[in-house]
Amino acid sequence: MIEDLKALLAGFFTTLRHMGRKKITLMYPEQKRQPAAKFKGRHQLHKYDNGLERCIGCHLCAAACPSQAIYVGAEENDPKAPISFGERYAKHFEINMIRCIFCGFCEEACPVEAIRLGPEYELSDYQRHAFVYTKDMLLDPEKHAPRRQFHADVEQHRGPIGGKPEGEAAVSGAPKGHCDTPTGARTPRKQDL
Amino acid sequence: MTTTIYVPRDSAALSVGADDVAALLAQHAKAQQLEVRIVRNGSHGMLWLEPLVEVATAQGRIAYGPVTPADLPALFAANFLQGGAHPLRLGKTKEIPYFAQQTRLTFARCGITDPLCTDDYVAHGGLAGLQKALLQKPAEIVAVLVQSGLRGRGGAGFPAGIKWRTVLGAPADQKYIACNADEGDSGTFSDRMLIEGDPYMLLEGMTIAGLAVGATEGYIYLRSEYPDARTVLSEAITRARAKGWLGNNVLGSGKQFEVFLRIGAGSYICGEETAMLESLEGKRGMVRPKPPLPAIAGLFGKPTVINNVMTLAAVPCILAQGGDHYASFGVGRSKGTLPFQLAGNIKHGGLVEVPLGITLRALLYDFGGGTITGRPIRAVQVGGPLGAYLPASKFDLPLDYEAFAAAGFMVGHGGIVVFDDSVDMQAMARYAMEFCAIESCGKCTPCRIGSTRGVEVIDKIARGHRREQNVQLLRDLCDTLANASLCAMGGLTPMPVLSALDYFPEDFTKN
Amino acid sequence: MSNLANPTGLSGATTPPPPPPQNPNLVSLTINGKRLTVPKGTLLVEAAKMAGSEIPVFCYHPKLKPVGACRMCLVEIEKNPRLQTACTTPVSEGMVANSVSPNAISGQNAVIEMLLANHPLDCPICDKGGECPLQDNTFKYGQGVSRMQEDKRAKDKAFALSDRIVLDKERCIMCYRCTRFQSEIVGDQALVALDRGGESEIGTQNGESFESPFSGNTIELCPVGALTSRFYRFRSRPWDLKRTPSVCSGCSMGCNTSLHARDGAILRMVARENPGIDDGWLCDKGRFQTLPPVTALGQVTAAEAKQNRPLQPLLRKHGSLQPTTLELALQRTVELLRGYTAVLASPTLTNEAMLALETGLRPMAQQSQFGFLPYVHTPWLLQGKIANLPFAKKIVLLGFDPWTELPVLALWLRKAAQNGGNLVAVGQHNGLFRDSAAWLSVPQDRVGDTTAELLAALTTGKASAPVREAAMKLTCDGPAVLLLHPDLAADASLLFLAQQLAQQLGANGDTGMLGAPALAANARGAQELAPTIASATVSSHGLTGILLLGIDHLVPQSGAKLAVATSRAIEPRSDVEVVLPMLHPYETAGTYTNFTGQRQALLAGGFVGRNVPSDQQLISHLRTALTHRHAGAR
Repeated sequence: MIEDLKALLAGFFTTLRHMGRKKITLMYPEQKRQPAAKFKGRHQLHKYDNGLERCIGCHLCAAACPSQAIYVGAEENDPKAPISFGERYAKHFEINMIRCIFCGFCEEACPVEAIRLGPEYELSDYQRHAFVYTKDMLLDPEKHAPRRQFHADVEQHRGPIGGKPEGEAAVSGAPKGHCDTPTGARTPRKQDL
Repeated sequence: MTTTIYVPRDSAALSVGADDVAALLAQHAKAQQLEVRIVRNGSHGMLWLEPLVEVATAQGRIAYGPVTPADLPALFAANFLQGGAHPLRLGKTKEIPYFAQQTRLTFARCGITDPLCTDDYVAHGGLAGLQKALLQKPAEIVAVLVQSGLRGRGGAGFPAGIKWRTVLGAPADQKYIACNADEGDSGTFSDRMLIEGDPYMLLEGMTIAGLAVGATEGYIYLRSEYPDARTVLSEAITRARAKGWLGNNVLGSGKQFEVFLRIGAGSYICGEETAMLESLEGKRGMVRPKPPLPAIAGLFGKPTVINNVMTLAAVPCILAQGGDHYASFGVGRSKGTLPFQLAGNIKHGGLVEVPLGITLRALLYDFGGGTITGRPIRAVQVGGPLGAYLPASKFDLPLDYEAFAAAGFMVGHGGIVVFDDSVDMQAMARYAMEFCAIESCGKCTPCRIGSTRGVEVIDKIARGHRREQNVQLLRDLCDTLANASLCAMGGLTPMPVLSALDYFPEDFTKN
Repeated sequence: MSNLANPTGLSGATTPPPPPPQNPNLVSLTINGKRLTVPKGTLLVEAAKMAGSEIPVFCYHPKLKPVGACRMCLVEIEKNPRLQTACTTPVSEGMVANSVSPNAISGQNAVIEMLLANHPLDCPICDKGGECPLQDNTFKYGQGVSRMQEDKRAKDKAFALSDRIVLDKERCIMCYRCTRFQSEIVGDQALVALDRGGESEIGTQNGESFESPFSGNTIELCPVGALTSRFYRFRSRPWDLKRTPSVCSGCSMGCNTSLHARDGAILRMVARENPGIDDGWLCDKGRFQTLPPVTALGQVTAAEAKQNRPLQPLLRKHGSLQPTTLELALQRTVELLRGYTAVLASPTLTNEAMLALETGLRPMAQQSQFGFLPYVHTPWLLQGKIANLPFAKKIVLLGFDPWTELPVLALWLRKAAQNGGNLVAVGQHNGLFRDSAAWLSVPQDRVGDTTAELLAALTTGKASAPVREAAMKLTCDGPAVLLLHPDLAADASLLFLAQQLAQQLGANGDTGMLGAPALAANARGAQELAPTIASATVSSHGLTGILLLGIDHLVPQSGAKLAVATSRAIEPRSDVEVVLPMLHPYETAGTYTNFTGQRQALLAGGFVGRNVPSDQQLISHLRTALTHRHAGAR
């Protein structure tokens, strides 16, 4: 019986011990967790300082993607008004966020550090097609992606790319509206469903 | 009484004013009412004495040189037409030691005769070889050549008789003789001297080759940089045709042989035999892969004898005097004589025809007399721009194909370029690599890319950038060039580079 | 692969010398330690393939003469001080070759290192990336790192050689495959090497456009991404492509192809070698001009969308063509076919559609005239096999220029000419003029007279000098080929003369070839399976309605209302009443009969949606609709 009592007290003691500790749960969504530095959240396509897109439409991210979530359609640059550095650019760049497993292989495969996984993780939505992120959403998420994905506190946490802080890399002056996806012509592909 | 005066028409003499001398000579003689006959002969090969004016006197031909137009009044005053004394008087041409010590088989007539005069040619023993050949069967001619031990004088040293025998044995409705007169090696000029000084000998040699292998057409591929040789040769072909030495009835024998002259367009690589064939066929001068050997499928796909001017010009003498006579000169398997050409920083530059086996030292000092600058000789490049740079320690090496090959060098076309001790061998190695980069036909990867990159690597070594690694890279590059190139051009480029690296390493470590 | 299985490769050196071969045409040798016997004259690189060893190559191509330019195939041969190139070395008795010795490997490494020193390594944006021999060989035979740190060469990156072909001069490794193809196989020297040494590059004489009917083959031959197709450029990566074997619909040659599609859109067509038909080559007309319009989702640019092909039925309503259902469209088509009407079909329909047309549709619409556009009937069906051609010694072309009509056939005839065959062309055009023994250049309407003269020259010797000279070329022994242009075959007297001439030459189908070849893709199939329709002539006068089946372009406006079944974009002309979408031959399964009568299968290489019927299905729909009309009329 003394043994039983001992066990009981030990149990209470454990509870008492934890009562004094700091809580690790958060009052989400009012409170947000600070993600780790290498956290793999929503993708973003980056640009050079001069406004040219980094992405060259090489399909390597799509090839590396284990869940076949990425679709790239490339086109030839107009040498007079190039969209990316070199001859080729991605006319279409889409990621199906439902398929994506956030493994970061696309980031590793990218030869020009164009695609990087950022800290944003609040990606829920109500319709399937809303999860297919188009190129504008990936290039300029502040403007095109769902607003709730942006938080001042996580924004400053993104690492630098190309030696510059991220905030400066995405400068204005990039050609806008060049990546108009013919959404009217789109019908769901196999990977969308 | 008419006095005969010889003023060379050789390009080397022309470049130092032989034409002016000849013209003024005629003027002076006319003014002084002297009857003279000016013969424009070939060069004797003593180039530091050009223009070498000879006067035919009762004692023989007396040489004066170098004669400039300004010397003429004094010469006339010294009564040089009778062999009068003058500071420029060199004595009898035959007795000038440089000339007298040579064994002239190929260049026997060069400088003696009027190059275009057919009578002169016959009077000095011309056509003797062809006449003998016309009496022999093809296999017999080839046998004489094999017996003579004559080897290709273009550089590779392949036995000419064996090559001819292969072509003779190759069945075909048409065969060709192709004469390589694309003498692109820097410091070489023997082909040009022979063509300008004794063109009929080359034509005779080609005709004999044609008889030997059953070819009825010969092509001479002459480089475009030799306009004087072109003039002489085309005139010689015309006259030989008119004389019946070429054509459908060679010397009345009923046999047929025709020679055509083709001019290159300035590419060094067209001196490579297969690139020369492409160029002769009217294509871009690019090296062909072997096999098939040109002796089996050469010009226009037919069996072709390709020989250098020197090789073919040695043939009439061999036929006339017998294979044994020719084979009695030289050492070991390197038979006969080779016309060496002394150039660069040398006091007595010129052509020296001597039996193979002579040492470099004898050529450089006994004939050449050391450098012009008077400084010691530091390096000698033997065998053209792709030949090795030899240090002074190798000067006692006998100049024969086997001894040179054993030491990792090559005799090549017999061109010898001399450098004194002020030379920067690193710059020379770079020059050799750059030469390959510029003259490469661009067909094979090692020569096209390796040579260009080689120049950059040598530049890096010069700047002292990662010297050890880059020297290793340069050696690896050279190894690839030597082992993997399509033709001898890429294969031999490492020779000057590596010899500079091996024998003059101190030049690669200074900054 | 077996290179790695036998890393030393030296075991052959220790085996006793092989006994002399029994057959003087066979040679025994050892490659990488493996003994084998091959025919005399085989190149070492081919012998290695037989021995199961792969020797890496760039410039070597089995159909081109060896050139020894790239030096990739270095092997060590016993008793040979230097490394030798396997692509230029014929085998010899007792040869002991080793491609995996340390020496050979270091040679291969060095060559790769040099090639990469000049190559831009822009693989991510290169069309060839993923199917590139340079990538593959670097992976297998390179050393992984480069010691060359110098700058890359800077040259033109997207130099337009022609409106079809773009050259990237930086990527070129100067293997000369393209220039050799143009000079050896085509013979037009449309591509040449320019400049010399390290500055060498590929280009055209005087910078003119690269115009050759076979230029597209150089894209396939290029072992790097230097020559690229203007149309395929950047459209896909090779690993995304679905490859379907099919047959070209450009002409009646029936060249075998492979259709490469991404997301259902056919982006390019490449050759699929059939040694009895195409020898591995395609002409530009077939390669670039027969593909259906790109309809893949996400691949449509604004310009392409405008000229996009219809993927659903359209019906003229209130003056404009508007989407409708298949039933309504078929109903209107059937209405149009009432009265004095015509059905014009394309000869590019499949054999199955031809049969359905002849036996299914025609009996149901007896008032309508049926015919093919263009007219396909030839009164002299071709006899003979393509495989006979290289051995032909006498070739006569009467008013027929294969260079433009059946381009790949011209390559076969060129092969015959190079094997010593005498080609005599009669007519206005002769693309094979470089290889012709004689070309009697006369206007097409005088071909008959010249044929008569040629026949006379062969029989009686009475003819003008040039004709007699041409006839002289045809007096040799050997297989004969005589081809007459099908349009000229309609002239009975010329046909008779041509047949006489063929007989005089001794042409027969067993050793040579004779006849008037059908030219359109499945014209022979049309004539065999729809003979009534093929031999009929349609009078266009006074027609009230015309149904166009699979024809790419509209007939001239004549007052007749048009129903158009097509796989191409169509002009929305006011007389078009109905548009029926149809699958392109490359999107459907079926068979084609080529001009020699050989039947070959097409497989669907592209996909445009389930609602678009194939030609055969459409004809069957039409038949059903016509049946209902008849039923309704009763």
